[in-house]
Amino acid sequence: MSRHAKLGRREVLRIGGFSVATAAVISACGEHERGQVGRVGTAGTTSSLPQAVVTNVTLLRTASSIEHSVISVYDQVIGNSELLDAKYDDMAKRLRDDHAAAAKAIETLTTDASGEAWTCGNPKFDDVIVTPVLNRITKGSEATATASAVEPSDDPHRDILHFLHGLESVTAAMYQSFVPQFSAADLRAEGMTAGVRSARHAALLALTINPDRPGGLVNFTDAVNAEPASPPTTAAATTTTTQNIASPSGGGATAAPVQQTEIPTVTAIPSAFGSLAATPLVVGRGDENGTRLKLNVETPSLNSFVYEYMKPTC
Amino acid sequence: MDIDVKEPAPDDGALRRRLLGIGLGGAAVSLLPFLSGRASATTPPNSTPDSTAVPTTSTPPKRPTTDDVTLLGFAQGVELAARNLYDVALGADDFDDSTRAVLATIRESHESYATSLSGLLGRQAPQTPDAVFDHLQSSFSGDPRSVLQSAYALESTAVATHIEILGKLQGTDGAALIASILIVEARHGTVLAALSEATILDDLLVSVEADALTPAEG
Repeated sequence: MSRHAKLGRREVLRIGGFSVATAAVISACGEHERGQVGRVGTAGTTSSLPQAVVTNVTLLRTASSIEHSVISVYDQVIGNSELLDAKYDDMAKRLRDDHAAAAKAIETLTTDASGEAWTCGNPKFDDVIVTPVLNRITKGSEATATASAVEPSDDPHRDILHFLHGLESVTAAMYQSFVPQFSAADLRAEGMTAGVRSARHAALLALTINPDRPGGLVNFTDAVNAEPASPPTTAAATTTTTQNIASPSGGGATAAPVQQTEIPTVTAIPSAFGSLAATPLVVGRGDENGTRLKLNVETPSLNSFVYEYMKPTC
Repeated sequence: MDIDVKEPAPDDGALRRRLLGIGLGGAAVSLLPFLSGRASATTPPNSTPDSTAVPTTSTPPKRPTTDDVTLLGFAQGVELAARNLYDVALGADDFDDSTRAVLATIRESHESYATSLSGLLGRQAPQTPDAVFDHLQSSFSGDPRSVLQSAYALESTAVATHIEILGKLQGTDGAALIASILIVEARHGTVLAALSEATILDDLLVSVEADALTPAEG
C-alpha cells in the first residue's frame, strides 16, 4: 500500500478554506480602528471622553479662573464688617481691583492665543477650597453621626485675613508654577507680572496679620541664620506648663479647656525662594477636640485646570 | 512483507496541485492585514467621536540656550551687585535690630540667587557684580531712611529686570529659577516699604515698577 496519498483538488480547497477562515478569526480578534475599542453585536452607544490637553490656553483659562475665584471672596467680605474689619475695606478693595485687572489681562491673552476666555471662578477650587472655608467660618459645620456640630468661627476677622493671605500666596505660586509649563516666553513674563502683584498682596496681608517685628517681616530662622549676632527681638517665648503635684487637681475640679488647633503664623518673606509647596490654612472654631478646619491649598494642577473643552457655567 | 519505502517521484500533476495549495495559503496570510480591517468589529457610527482637534504644542528646551546663558549671566551680575550693596548698608550701625535682621536676610537671599544661577550656568557663570553696584553704592550708606528707600528702588529694579529676562528665556530650567527669585524679590519691596513706615497702598504694593536694567546699560 502506498503511504503517499496524492494532494487532490478537495484537499487543496480544504487547506485554502481553512487558511481564509483562520485569517478571518485572527483578524476579528485584532485591533483595527486606532484609538477606539471595537464592539461586536448590538449595544448602547458610547461617547468618548474629550481630550484633556494642557496647552497655553488651558493654563491661561486656569489663571483667570483662579483670579475670579479670589475676586468672589473679596466681594463677599468687603463691606461685611462681621467678616472683615471695616478698617481694611480700602486695602481689600485695592487688592480686589488688582485681581480684576489681572483677570482682564489674562483673558485678553487667552483670546489672543485663539482660546475662549474663562470669566468664571475655578469650579474645582471653589468646591474644594472656597466654599468649605467660608462655610466653616460663617456657619460652622453640622453634626454628623460621628461628630458634634461646630459653631461658626470664634474670630471671623482673623480667619478671613488668613484666608485672603492663603489665596494670595497660592495665586502667586500658581503663576510661578506655570512658568515652566508655558511654551511661550512672553506668556511667562505676562503671567509673572500678575504673580508678582499677588506676592506683594500676600506680603501686605502678612504684615497686617502678624504685628511681630521682625517676625512678621522675615522668616525667624532665616533672620537668625543671616545675622546670628543680632537675633530678632521678638522671638516667640517658650511656653511651659507648670503642675502642682502637692495639690493635684482632679475629681471635682473643672476640666482644662480643650486646646484649639494652633493657627500658623504668617510672614511677609517666608523663604528665600518662591515655594510651590501647599499653603497650610487653618480656620474656624475647633470641634469637640479643638480641631479647626485644616487645609493644604495646592496650586492648580491636572484636576483643577480649566481645559479647552470646558464651558463656563456662571 | 516488504514495504516499499522508496519515495516515488511526484508526477507533474501532483506537484502542480501542491504548489497551488501553498499559493492559496500564502495568499490568505498575505491578505490578513487587509482582511482584519474588514472582518473585525468597529465603533458604531452613531457614537460620539471626539471631534476636538488636538492642538500641536512645541516643547521648549530645558537647559539654557546660548542666548539664555548671556541673560542668566546678566541676572547673576545683578544679584551679586545687590548683595554687595546690602553689605555696604549693613556696614553701618545705624539700624535697629529688626531692620538689621531684615536687611541681612535680604542680603543672604540675593547671595543665594547668585549662587543658584552659578549652579545653573556652571563655568559659564560670569561671577562678576553688575555695574549698577558702582552707580548705587553711595546711596546705600548714610541716613537709614534713605538707605531703605534705595533698597526699595533696587528691589523694584531687580523685579523689572527679571521679568524682562523671563520674557526672553527659552530654556525652562532658567525660567523656573528666575520665577522663584522674582516672587520673593517682589515681597522684598513691600517689606522695605513697611520698614520705611509707608502707609500709602501704592507704595506698599510697588504700583510703579522701576525701569529694568539691560545688559548694554549694565
